[in-house]
Amino acid sequence: MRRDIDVMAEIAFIYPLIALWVGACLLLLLARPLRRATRPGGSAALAGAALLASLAFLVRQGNEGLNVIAFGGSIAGDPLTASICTILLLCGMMAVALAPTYLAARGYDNPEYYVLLLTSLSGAMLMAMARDLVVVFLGIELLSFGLYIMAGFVREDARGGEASLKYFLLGAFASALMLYGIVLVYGSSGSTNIEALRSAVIKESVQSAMFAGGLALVLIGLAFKAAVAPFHQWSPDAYEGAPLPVTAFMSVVAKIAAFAVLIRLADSLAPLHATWLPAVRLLAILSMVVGNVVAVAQQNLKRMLAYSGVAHAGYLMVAVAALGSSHAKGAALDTQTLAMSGAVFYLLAYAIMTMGAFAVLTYVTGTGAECQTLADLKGLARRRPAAAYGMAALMLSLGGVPPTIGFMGKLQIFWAAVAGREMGLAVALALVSVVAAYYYLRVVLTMCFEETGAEPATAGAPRAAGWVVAISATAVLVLGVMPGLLMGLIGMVR
Amino acid sequence: MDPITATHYIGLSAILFAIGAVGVGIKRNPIVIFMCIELMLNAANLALVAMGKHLGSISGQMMAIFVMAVAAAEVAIGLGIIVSIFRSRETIDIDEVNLLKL
Amino acid sequence: MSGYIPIVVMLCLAALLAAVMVLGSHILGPHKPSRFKVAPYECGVTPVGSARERFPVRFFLVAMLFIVFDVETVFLFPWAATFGAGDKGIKLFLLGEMGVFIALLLVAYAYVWQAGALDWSEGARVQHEATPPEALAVRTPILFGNEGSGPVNLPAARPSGAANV
Repeated sequence: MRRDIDVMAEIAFIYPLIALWVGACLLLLLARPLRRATRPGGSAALAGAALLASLAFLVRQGNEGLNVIAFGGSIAGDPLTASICTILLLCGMMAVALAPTYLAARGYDNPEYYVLLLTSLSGAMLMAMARDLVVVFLGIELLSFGLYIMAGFVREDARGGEASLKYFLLGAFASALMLYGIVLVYGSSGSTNIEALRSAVIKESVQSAMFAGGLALVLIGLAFKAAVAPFHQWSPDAYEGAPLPVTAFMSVVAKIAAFAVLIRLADSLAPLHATWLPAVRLLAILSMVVGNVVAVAQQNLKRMLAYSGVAHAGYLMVAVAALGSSHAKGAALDTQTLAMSGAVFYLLAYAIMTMGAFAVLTYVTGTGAECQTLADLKGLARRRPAAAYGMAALMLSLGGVPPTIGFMGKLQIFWAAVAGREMGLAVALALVSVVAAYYYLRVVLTMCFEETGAEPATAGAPRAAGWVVAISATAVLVLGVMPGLLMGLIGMVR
Repeated sequence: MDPITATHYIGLSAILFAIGAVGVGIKRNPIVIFMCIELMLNAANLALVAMGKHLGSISGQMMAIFVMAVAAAEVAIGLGIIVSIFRSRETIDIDEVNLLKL
Repeated sequence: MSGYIPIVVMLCLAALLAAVMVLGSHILGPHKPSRFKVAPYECGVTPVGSARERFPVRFFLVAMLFIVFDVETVFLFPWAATFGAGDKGIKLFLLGEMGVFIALLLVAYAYVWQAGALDWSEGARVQHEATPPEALAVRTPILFGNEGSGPVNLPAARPSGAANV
């Protein structure tokens, strides 16, 4: 700590986080006037401003933020961090846009919701910045604490409370496992810094069973947060019970943050691939198969999207495996770049598609009862054509049908797997995609060809959710045709 | 008389951690499950301090302090969730909290 | 492990002694149970209801707040221990950092305050008003257990649903 001048530069690096925290503090201090305000949306506007400020700080850092090492090497910036943080902030903005109408209809448009959302998001960003396992742990907890409470935010809803309790108990258990894993890594290697671990691994100074056991526990903890099978049991319940805007937020943000850490660990600990690669391959296969097969049987769209999230986590695990495998077979550096940029591209695609799908449900819900089953969508093409077309585009993208962003993402992961000589995983990815197309297309067919007696709706749809639907559906199609537009964001990874 | 070494502490912490993990699996009352999770966190704390002492680095103790703060926040949130459910349904037995199929 | 043998021996001896004393008095002592002897307390106020009564949920709220604010203190100690080392600039920086930390706690405190979570008396008054006056009027009089020669008049336990949640 003998660098008086550097300190300010290090703090400048976390301005994006500080902006979120200042926003949260302001919301807390202004809680009373905000709750008494006659017009709803004040809290959401303040939260949106905090998110915009955070994004502005992130953009202003630009290339300077790409090689900062701050706070004793516990957090640092690089292209992966910057792109993940950008994606997270965009998700946060969409989640804020979805919330006010839904919550106000239930009498819960409270400033506390946005405080939790902002702190959760800052935890996710902290995970993306972390270069130290302890900071990863703190980030996970900061992320999860908000999510636990948000899942039960509508207190009269018994399902919400139940989702909250289950998510909390299982989540806390997974965090405890992960913490013990970190402790074992610390005990066997003497450090929790990821860079230090990388050099220790290269020097082969740690090969003990204790280190491997610690890594396994850390992997389980992250797999839990990312809802990778067989650690996904919480996700269908939590998704179904939580209020729709919360489901949208947690399905996307928790997965992105967990995969940011997984990708970084896989990259840093690639020399140790013999230890972890088999486990990652197994998780990838299990997740793809379980997610897609169980999703077929779901009539509730929230549960279906939960299992589809499990499947997408499996695709992302393929990219993680390719990352380790490319190192194993001494492939050229561009194979690793392919795997990493593919994973980040897919994370962005997943964020847009899933956020968009939940935005459609929120839009159709309006101020009424939650729209969450397949039956609720019957005849949507006639009742709300715009929402139905948006949903169709998003579903096709989730199913990986060209020309959508979901297809481009899957293609990139497929190529990365082939380049990393993970042929088995590449074939599995292609095969399960066929199953996946079925249940997404079923949603489209239900919207277009099944009719109910319901009259075309005229009013009551939340405008902000409508915008989210429009933007995400457009992005899914445009970026599917011209993925090159994203290369500014994705191409700089590595 | 044998000195008590880091191995003893780590063995004890492993036992505590295992008790907690098994308890989470077999208990039905959320408060008891929650206590088991806290036991796991504290087992990690014990191991952290012992390992820090063994390695001669202060970071183990620092981490333990962070974990304590995190555990306290977790207690507050957990109790809050449990109380909120209890208020609305007069039961917190995990088997009776079953609107959602598991 | 040989160093622990004396402790084990001592534990065994203590357990043996305790067992002998309890069992011995049980076997050798005279047994003449009477109404007063089997009562939990032989004198004083007769126990009313169960000791495992449910208490207001407000206690939980205060306990939660206490835990959170109490444990934050743990960060003050390492800070205080390292504050002395370092020159003036570092000290100023450390002071600023701790100021930010305390300010964050104050924000939380202000929020908790305005949300009414610290307002114990208001909650108590609400509970009092909720109790109908006739329920107060017919309250069981306090018994002192030893009146008369009849059996100790233990009042029936209050219905367990009476907790003020």
